[in-house]
Amino acid sequence: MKNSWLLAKRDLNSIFMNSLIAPIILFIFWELSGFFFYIFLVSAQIASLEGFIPNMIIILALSIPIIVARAFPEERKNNTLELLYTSPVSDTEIYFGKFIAYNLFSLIMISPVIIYTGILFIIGRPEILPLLFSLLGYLLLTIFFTTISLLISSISNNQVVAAMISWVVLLIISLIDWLKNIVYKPFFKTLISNLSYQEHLSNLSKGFLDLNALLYFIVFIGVIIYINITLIESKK
Amino acid sequence: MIEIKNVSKWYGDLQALKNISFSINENEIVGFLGPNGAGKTTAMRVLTGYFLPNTGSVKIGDYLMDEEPKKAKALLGYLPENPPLYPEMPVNDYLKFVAQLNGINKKDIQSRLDYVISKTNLEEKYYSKIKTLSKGLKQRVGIAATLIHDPKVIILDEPTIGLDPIQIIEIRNLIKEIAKEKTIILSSHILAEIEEVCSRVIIINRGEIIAEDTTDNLRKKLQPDRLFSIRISEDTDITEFIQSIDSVKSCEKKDNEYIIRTLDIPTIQANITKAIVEKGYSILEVKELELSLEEIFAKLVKGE
Repeated sequence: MKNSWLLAKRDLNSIFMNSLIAPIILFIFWELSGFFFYIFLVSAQIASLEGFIPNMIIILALSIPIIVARAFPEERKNNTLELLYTSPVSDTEIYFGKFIAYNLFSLIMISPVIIYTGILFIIGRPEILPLLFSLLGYLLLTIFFTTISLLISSISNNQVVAAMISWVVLLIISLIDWLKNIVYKPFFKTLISNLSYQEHLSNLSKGFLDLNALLYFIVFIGVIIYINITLIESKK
Repeated sequence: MIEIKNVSKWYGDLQALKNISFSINENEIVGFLGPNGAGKTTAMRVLTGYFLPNTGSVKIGDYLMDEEPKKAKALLGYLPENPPLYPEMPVNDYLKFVAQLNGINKKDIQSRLDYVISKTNLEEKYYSKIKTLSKGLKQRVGIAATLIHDPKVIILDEPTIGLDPIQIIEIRNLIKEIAKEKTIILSSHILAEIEEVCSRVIIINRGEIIAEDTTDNLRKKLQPDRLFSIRISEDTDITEFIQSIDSVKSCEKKDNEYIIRTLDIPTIQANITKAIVEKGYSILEVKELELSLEEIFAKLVKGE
């Protein structure tokens, strides 16, 4: 883990030092999230994040790939994967270096939600459990999106292509929920509900400690991590 | 120090390395030659653990690359053809990062950094961002990074490619300096560079090792006769006289020079010059003609 942290620090530094993209994305994301928070607070007049989080999904799905897409193509462009793969560092450590760095960036991106939570406590009396589970869902969704984008970045040589594929994949994953409306067989309806993250996210934000939801995110994130490490190893 | 046994590597249907084996002793400097696409870079990548071979084994020091990759890699310093550099990092930060990646203790990093910076003459560029450096300076940063953890084995893939003549001399001198205390594998297209620095060469072609020896031995194998030229001051044609001297196999006159092919006897040159002088001719120049490494390389690759 020491090596992963070393790699993560370098990556995080590089995200901010390499171009203005990261600060611009942060600025836009913070502006939009503040705007949405204000709109839902004023229109719904409820001290809750229930309306805010589902509407942040599309902004997250658009923003995360722009930053994460560079993770592996940038190393390939600089030929630095050759440095990492020939140094006394394992492939798993290399992967987790990226995983930590890009998830930290994504967490910085969603961090204003802590301020919004504070505001809810100042202006009203929010229900604690739904609020906590909403935050947990938001956090897991962010890690889920980042992990998927990282997987796509690891198999692409070009960061623009990686970002576009990530957008398409995140869009498809987000649209699975809509299929519920066009299938009639209960079995398929249940299957789609289980596969859709929106269903799980919505349960969490309603304040249910939905173990299925937690399991959904943890299993999917774990499987994607496993596939990604296996892909890195197999490319050798 | 390095032992490669029956290594094969496939890229899909293409076999880049065909069952190659070789070993390199401690403190030996070995040149790695081969035409483009021969498998040199693949061999180096397998050697450094970047690629895993489909068959065979790679052993660095006491460690097998597939069993103890971290320990094996810790003994290596590798400079690929395009130095792996992070353009946005300053030189000192990059070298510190590589040192940490190789597990150097925090308290030793500064002294190692000072050592490699002075060895590669990068003092003035200590705080410069790598993207602002010239190609030659980037190459030096790459070499500094391969040395930072004081590895026992240094592997350099085309270290002078794309550099100007002054930079080439600088890098070559640096390699000679490093060569005093390390095991080195040097891959290069510039054969003079290999001949100048390396004690032994391995020639690879189409994924196979076609020769492995000292340049002197390769020369002897490919050119069993001795060949030298003599120039005399007189205009007279003495070809027939030279041919009559004992042990001379043939003599040919080219302009003012006589190209003499003889048996490989140590005293042959002295015997011939003595006979010519005793005959009353004045010798202006005697030159031993050897196959250049280029000629050896071309003969081997063409299978002559």
